[in-house]
Amino acid sequence: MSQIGYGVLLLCLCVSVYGAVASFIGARRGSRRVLRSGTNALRVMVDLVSAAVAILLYLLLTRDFGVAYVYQYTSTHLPFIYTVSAFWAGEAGSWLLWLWFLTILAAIAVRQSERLGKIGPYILATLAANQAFFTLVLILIANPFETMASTPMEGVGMLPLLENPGMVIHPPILFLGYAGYSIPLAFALAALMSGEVSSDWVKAVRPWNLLAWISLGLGIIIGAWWSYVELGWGGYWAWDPVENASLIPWLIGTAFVHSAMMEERRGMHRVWNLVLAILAFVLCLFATLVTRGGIIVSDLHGFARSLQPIAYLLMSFMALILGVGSFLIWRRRHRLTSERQMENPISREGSFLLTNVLLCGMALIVVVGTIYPTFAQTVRGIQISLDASFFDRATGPLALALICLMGICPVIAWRRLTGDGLRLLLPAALGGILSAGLLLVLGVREALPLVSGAISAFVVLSLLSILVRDVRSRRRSTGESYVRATLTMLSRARRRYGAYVVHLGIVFIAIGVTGSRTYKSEQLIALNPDESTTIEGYELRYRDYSVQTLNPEPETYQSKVRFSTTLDVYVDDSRVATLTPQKNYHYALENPWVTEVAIRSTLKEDLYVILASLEDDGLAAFQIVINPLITWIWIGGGVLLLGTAIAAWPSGRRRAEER
Amino acid sequence: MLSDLADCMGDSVSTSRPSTNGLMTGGRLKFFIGGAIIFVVLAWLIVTNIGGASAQYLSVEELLAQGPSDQMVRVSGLVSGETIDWDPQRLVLRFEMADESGSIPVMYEGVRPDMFRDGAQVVVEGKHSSDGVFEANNLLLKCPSKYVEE
Repeated sequence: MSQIGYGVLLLCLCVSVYGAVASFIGARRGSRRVLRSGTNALRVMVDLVSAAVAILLYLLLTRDFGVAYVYQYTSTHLPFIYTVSAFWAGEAGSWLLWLWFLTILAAIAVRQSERLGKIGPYILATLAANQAFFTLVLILIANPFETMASTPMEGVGMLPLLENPGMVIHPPILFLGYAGYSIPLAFALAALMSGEVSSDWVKAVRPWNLLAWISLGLGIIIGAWWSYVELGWGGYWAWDPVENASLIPWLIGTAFVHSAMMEERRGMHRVWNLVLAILAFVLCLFATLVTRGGIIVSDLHGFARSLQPIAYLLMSFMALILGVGSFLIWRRRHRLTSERQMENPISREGSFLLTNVLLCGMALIVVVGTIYPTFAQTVRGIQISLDASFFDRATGPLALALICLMGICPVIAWRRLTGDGLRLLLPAALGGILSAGLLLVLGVREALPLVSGAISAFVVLSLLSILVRDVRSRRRSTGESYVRATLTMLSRARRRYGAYVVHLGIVFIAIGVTGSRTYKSEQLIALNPDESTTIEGYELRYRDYSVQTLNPEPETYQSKVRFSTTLDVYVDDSRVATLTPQKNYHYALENPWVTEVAIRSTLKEDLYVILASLEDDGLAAFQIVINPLITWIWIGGGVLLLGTAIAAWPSGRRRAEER
Repeated sequence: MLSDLADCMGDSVSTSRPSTNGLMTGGRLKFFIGGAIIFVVLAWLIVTNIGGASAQYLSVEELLAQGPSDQMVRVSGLVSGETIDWDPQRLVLRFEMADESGSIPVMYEGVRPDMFRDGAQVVVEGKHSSDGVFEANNLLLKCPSKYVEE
């Protein structure tokens, strides 16, 4: 079975290379016959890669330990859902998943490209070439179908940290985002190759852009959630190179979403859009280089210590894309002039430009901070570490400025600030200042929550006043009721209101980040059974403890001794929750201890309890963390998804208008 | 990267209306100044923050040579197993940290990390106090990759 899988991969390589060559020749010669053949190659790729995916899934589910990948990541104790997620627990499976998404998205894009005239064939060629690269990686470096010399009786098993619902969905969503950015890349390069560099490609790529953006964004948020509930350190974002690596393309992608709008609406930023589309994809590759290539020196995660073979492949591919992209942009530079120029910096154009610059600036800061320790080591020969405060301080002001812009930008008109805009802006700004005053009266003295509170209130008020204005004017012209007018507004101008909802989601996330960063409080305490402690109005009574052995035979990563404690949580003498923080000793693992935290979540704050240690007589050390407002980060993630769905939802009327 | 941004945006803007020469240079200048300001702000954000947040690693030998001081430093080394003294009631961890060149006693108040054991590679952050003990505020363990067991 595994040989068949490998054979399928080899076939994939032939088909994708053929598809790229045929599409390219078809595009140059304008030959429909050759082109159809190239299109078919891309369609066949979906079937082939799906077959490879099915084979690997079959091998995992039948626990064929003769296959190295299955042996490494599964065991007989592993529950069904994690046996499926073992698919992306390792490098080879992740590449295969990524390739699978690439082929599926490409097959959908093929149908769209048929309507795109001269650009279409080049899109196919680029997509097929991209698939060829991924197939090459699978064949040369990360073959998931590699077999063992003999078939072991039992697999090693999944790392317990990955046994978490977050890890079931985080990698696929992230890879969908990474794969998604291959489409804007293909559209951009195709526009350049075909010479049809009008704004059509930007319009056509919009749904793909949004898909990639929201997938990557949700992937990052789910990753943060996983880190929060599973890693047991009380936080969710450590500015670790792995986290940064996925954030960088997302920031660039966010810049692209905004500057693409400038090109669609105003015919501006045309070179810059091409640059961003290319950069977003290249940075997705860079993210893989960071996590898999052994290029980044990290304090805590000794990734591969030397440059891996995959690093050379990835760097060549990145260099190729950047080289081809720059050359093509240079060659087409005369056709890439803006239709308009900015008349006034205080206009919607101006605020979009500033948004773009701030996002790219943040990305630059994260890049600098991520590679700085490596740079210092290679160039200056000293070992340096950079802690998270650098990122907080350097990106924080830019992030606050960006959020502020979310309130300003929708209000001011294209070309210049009008009196109408000013009438909406001033009350909202006043509301923001008043909210800061209110917070001050309530006893808030720290700068971050005051500024962040004022800005958040300003944005929400500004968005609300736009909604009220629109509904009022609709009511005046149609005489509909408020509810009806609101609903029609929302469904008519989905793009606009979807964007506002997304911005609201960002405000929620900002509130969550501000609260948990500023007011996080911690207590470290050793308790004997029946003793209790208090923190921030909670009383925690340590009731009981237990020790039990799970999955002892055969010995795999899933074999463990579970140390469990039970605490009753009281607020005002009434019991509100029972928490069971645990520690598992996985004796087959090199690092055997895995902490399972217990969390009580409310909209106001999380009570987060870590069992730090448990002695034989029941003496336990608990680390108790209060994380105010943290739930709003996860809620914000949901709102982002909702807003993007509203904005991307295809509407028959709008489509007709666009044509 | 940002100067590129300013450049290419400046380019695209200025070439759009070749007939209005005065506007063209004015627009270009505005963008140039705007780009320069933003670049300076970014550079300022990076430079002013990178110093305070970065710490150089010392070896145990360098730390001993330097002697006690009030400066916060980071030292990495290995845990000597037989010296681990963990007080679970008071939550105090004492141990000797060693490398090829010597060893130094370390005191840390806090949780004993899960992976803390003989031979573990640790990074401590804190001060070398006058009684010769390294008082750590932070204790980190270097662990193998999160994802791949080596």
